[in-house]
Amino acid sequence: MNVADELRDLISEAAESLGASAAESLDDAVDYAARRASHLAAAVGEPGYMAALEAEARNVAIMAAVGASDAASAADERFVRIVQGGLRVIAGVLSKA
Amino acid sequence: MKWIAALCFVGLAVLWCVPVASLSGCASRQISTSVVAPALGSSATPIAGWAMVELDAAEAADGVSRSEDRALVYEWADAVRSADAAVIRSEAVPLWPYVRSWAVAGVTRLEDSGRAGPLVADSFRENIAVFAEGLGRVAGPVYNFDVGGSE
Repeated sequence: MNVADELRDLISEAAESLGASAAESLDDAVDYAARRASHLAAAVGEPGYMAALEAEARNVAIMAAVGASDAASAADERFVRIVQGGLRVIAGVLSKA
Repeated sequence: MKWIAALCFVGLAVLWCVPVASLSGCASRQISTSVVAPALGSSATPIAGWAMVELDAAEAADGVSRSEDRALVYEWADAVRSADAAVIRSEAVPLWPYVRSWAVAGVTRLEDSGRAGPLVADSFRENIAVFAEGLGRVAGPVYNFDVGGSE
């Protein structure tokens, strides 16, 4: 399974588990996340790295346009945290490859 | 006679199709708007934070108070966090050009001071650009040219 597939599963499952409306543009979000995971892999160890992970996860949330009608901000925040965790793991693996 | 009938048919078809196409376009924009608005909320705090970095630095440099500008940033962030497309359109969109320019400058300051690495700063700028794109979808075509993109 490649990085894009891993991210697709992660993003889809995260969106579904939150009961959020996953995205008309999920494919765009997955492509974007895969691209930015490589970018993050190169940024490992730079000052502010954790904040960059968070910024990229927020970008994925916007690209996926994930939102829930109830408790929107809580669901949104949880989605960002899940994607952030996934990007962190994948970027870490890529940086050692 | 046949030509006239054909022209009338085409004319009627166009008259029927244009409003239908317009309506379906409006419907899809409404769906996008309601879905995108909540997703923008989580970016309000960090973008406001980068704008504050710039305002603090500018104030320290020239001694001129930036309290009104800070109030504007808070107002903008509150509007974005509302996750309400109408509030975002009426309150956040008009303030975005100011907040955006301060946030971009703030990121540059973080990078120049070494508090953010160059690739990290790129991620921050990317966040501002993606946010602007999302804001453009919520704001609609009237504002799409004013919300800004990446530097």
